[in-house]
Amino acid sequence: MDDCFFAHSACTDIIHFLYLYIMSSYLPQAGRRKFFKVLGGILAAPFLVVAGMAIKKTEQNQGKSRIILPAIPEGISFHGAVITIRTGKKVRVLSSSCTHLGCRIQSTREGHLQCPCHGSEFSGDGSVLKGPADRPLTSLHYKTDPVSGQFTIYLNRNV
Amino acid sequence: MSLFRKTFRYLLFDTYGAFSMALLVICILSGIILAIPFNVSAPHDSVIRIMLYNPPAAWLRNLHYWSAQLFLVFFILHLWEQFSQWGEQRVGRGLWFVLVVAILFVFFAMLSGFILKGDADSLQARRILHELLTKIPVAGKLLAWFFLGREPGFQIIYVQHIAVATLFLVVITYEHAHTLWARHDTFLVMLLITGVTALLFNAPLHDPHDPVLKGPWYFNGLQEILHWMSNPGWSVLLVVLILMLIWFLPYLKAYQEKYVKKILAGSLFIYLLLTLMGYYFRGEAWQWVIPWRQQDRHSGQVKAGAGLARTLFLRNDLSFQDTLPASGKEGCISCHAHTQGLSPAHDPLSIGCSSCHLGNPYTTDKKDAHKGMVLIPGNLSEARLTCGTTDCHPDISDRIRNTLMSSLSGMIGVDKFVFNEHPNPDGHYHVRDLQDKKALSASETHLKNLCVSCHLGNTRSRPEVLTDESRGGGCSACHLNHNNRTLSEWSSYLAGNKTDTLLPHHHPSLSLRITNEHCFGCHSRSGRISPNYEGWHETFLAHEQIPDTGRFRTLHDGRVFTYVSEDIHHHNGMDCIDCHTSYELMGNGKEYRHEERQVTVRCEDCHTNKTHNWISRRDLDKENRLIAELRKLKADSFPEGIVSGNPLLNVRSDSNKRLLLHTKLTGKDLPMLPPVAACTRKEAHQAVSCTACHTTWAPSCIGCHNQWEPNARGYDMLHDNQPVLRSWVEYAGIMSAAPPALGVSTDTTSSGDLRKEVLPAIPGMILTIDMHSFNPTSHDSLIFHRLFAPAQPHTISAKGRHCKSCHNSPQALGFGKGSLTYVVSGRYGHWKFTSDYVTRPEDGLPEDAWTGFLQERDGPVSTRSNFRPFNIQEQQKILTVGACLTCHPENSKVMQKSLTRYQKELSHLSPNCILPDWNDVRTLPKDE
Ligand code: FES
Repeated sequence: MDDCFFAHSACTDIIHFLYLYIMSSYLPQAGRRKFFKVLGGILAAPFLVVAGMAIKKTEQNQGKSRIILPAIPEGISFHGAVITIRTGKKVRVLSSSCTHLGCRIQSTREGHLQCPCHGSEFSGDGSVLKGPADRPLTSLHYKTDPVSGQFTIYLNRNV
Repeated sequence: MSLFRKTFRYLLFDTYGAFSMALLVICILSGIILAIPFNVSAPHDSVIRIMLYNPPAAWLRNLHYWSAQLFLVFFILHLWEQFSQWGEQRVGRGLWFVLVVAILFVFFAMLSGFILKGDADSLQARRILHELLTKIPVAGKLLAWFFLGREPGFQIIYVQHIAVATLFLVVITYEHAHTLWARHDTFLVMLLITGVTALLFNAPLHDPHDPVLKGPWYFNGLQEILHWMSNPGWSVLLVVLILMLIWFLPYLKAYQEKYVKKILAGSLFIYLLLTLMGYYFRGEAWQWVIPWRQQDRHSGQVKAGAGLARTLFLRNDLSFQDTLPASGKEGCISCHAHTQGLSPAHDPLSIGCSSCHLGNPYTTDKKDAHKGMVLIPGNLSEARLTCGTTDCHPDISDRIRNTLMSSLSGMIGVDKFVFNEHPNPDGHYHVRDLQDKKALSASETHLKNLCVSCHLGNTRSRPEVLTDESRGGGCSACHLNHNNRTLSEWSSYLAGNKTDTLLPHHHPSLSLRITNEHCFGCHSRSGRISPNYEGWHETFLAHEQIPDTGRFRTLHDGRVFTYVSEDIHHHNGMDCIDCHTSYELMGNGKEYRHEERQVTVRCEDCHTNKTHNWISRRDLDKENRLIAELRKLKADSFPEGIVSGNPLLNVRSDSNKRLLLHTKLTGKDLPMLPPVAACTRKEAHQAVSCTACHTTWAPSCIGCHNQWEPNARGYDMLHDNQPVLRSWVEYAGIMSAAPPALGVSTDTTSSGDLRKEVLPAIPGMILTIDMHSFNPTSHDSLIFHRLFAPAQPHTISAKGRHCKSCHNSPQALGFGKGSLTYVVSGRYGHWKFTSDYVTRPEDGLPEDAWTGFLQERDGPVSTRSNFRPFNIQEQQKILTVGACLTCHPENSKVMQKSLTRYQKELSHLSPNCILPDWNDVRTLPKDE
């Protein structure tokens, strides 16, 4: 179903509405109220769909699904939604969202990743060292550009 | 009591419900006006701007905040009041349901307001709320989106906050209004209370440099609950359960209802306790803190606000509108504009002042702004909040606490060992543990009186010129450089009653310009490598006794040094930091027990015949890359040290592919000469370290005595060097500068092999400790030790020691000063040693000896568990060559040949050669 379909159905609805509205004036009072209820129902559906589309478009224009980093430094570093950990040639990318309640992890204490909100701690490979969190941090998928060495990290793709 | 009741009754001139109603109206009205200066696309910035440059709006924001908080309090009291009066029975069932749901909306309106200030607390609270909402089955995601939208936008929360939540509340209130409406005077009194509060106290905003993150106060209890629960779903369920209970109240029988109300009251009480706990006793990362302790005083929020009254009504002496910087996010700049002297990385226009000096950046009132300020941000006690915040140098501030320069583990470990408080010198310690300790042992008191002023954690309390006595100061110890201008400005400011006209405009620089003087203050003691490196040897002379030869130097603390000879590297213009890397100095995070473990640089890193590996700039670790950038190094790749593997940032190759060391501070290019053939001959001197031969001299001090004296004036170096009465006193013995003794350090390699290395050794401690003076009941009365320490004296010369200076030297072999002669009688030869010093009664060895002539020692011999003098077999081997050297000059063919094929040379001796016969009784040492 494409956008055109909805636009078309919305137009047809409006024409129907006008037609029915004119017709309805010939109906008796009680019947007319019922008629409007039904009409409202019919009209609400395409309206909701259009509203949904508008919201979806806004969302699409806003949401970020990947992050590009020119290089990944040695050790643990924080880049907003992601944490990168490099030991020599090995690179690991974790989501910085704490698995307990989604706080952003942005600091370390004695080499451990530390959630500021309720004290969860994770090791450099993302596994839980201290609760309340009970699941390891999500590892994210990334790609390296062979020419520029640039890293593209996909926020929605887990490893 | 009755008076209390009377006042209380007087205060409650209206119902809680009426109070909350009035507060809600104030809150909504102030909110509507606040919407104008508030910018939803940059919420945090706009709140800061409101607080800094728009005092009326700041007042409105405070009013909005305080009325909301009070509203919440009265709202809960109102609910309570209603429950106790069976109010729920009086409303219709339908309305009751709506009212119960309204409770949720009250909290949502509050929390969304909290989120809209857009600071670090808000962002995390938003993430948590988002996550909690998504936990709701089926509609969770949709609900989360509907109420919060998606990061980083604030549009939807804003709409919800001002429209939906508020609208809903208005409707509820309207429903209420049939029975209840606030009287005019109630409204006015509430306006007065919140209005004055808003003048005096700012609505909180997260202190940008504080790691403590907390939700709004009324959710601190929930935060505590969440901390204990792995599955937050339970807490969602709990909230739903409580709401359900409230909803069911009207449907219950009277006795059941009473019961449920008791449960509710109990939970509220527990929640209150949890809230208090969370609010006061939780700190960074939700760890326990004690709020009245100095180091735990941070709450995460900037709260002061009394200055608002001054700015609104009294006006300050400065009209800050004139100095208002276009992009300023800090009030500091309005007075401290045009501060010069900092590099771009630390430019106050880009990072502000408060990121280092804390205080309150969100006000232009001097008093408020300076509250909680830190004069010397480099002090390690502050570093986590200043230099070490997440956005700046967090990893360094973590690891620096573990370095030996901070922990002093080696110093403490050896001292405890010497005082017989620990069986070996390898214990692990940190000086901060001594600081907190109440009853100190003998060695700890000794450390406190005489040793532990030299550590990075030692705090500085005022701006200081760098002298040969400077110590401590954390990051500032190395990275801060005052100049004449900053110093004169500072001293006149501090002397002139800090008047604003004298406000300093020059800031000491913060940089990688770490000179030898920065190291000197601490490293001029004990091993004294700093003065040694420059060629100075400590004497016991007083300043007045110095002959006028120019070869003497007096330090600030009065110690007199005489010139011996400088290290070749110093002679060529190299500074400490030309060899020692950031990871050695600031640590690599690991905790080491002794310095030789933490220091990784080796002579062979540069002086080698091997080819270096090169590392490209891109593959450098973050820190080295940054250093390369700050030092403006152009190279694309750098050689790695042959042994250490450290990237040698200051080494580059010239057009002839020759490697040159470019000194970091003096900018000289120095060739890195490879070792001569003698050094690399594996057979003979395989285990001998470079420094064993190339060290020209080392300071040594013997025969010192330690005594606790009840009347002596000393220092409490653990606590800001406070002078104290009663102290350990050290009486030094003899000090000399001579080629060092040699000893053997043994290690097991990673592959399990035993590895020996011959290193210079200096008398670490040949001393006595009068234990009874400290503790008359101590079971040692007098402790005597004869311990040497492995040393890197930093007195390197290009030319190594000549053969005889080791093979024929009693000092090199550890016997001490004296005459060592080879006696030949007939076909037999034997070595003979006569000491210059008398023997000590405690162990029968000469005062300055490390080991007896052709003897071995039992028990502790050095300040390391893996370091010892030559054993008998090794002494014999060395002296055998020494015997050869008594006839053959070291450059003779035979001696040179022996370097590569020693055994072969021994197998065809000429008949004139008489080697010591180690099995002959005459070669065995005589008991004197
Ligand atoms: S969100 Fe990380 S511990 Fe709760």
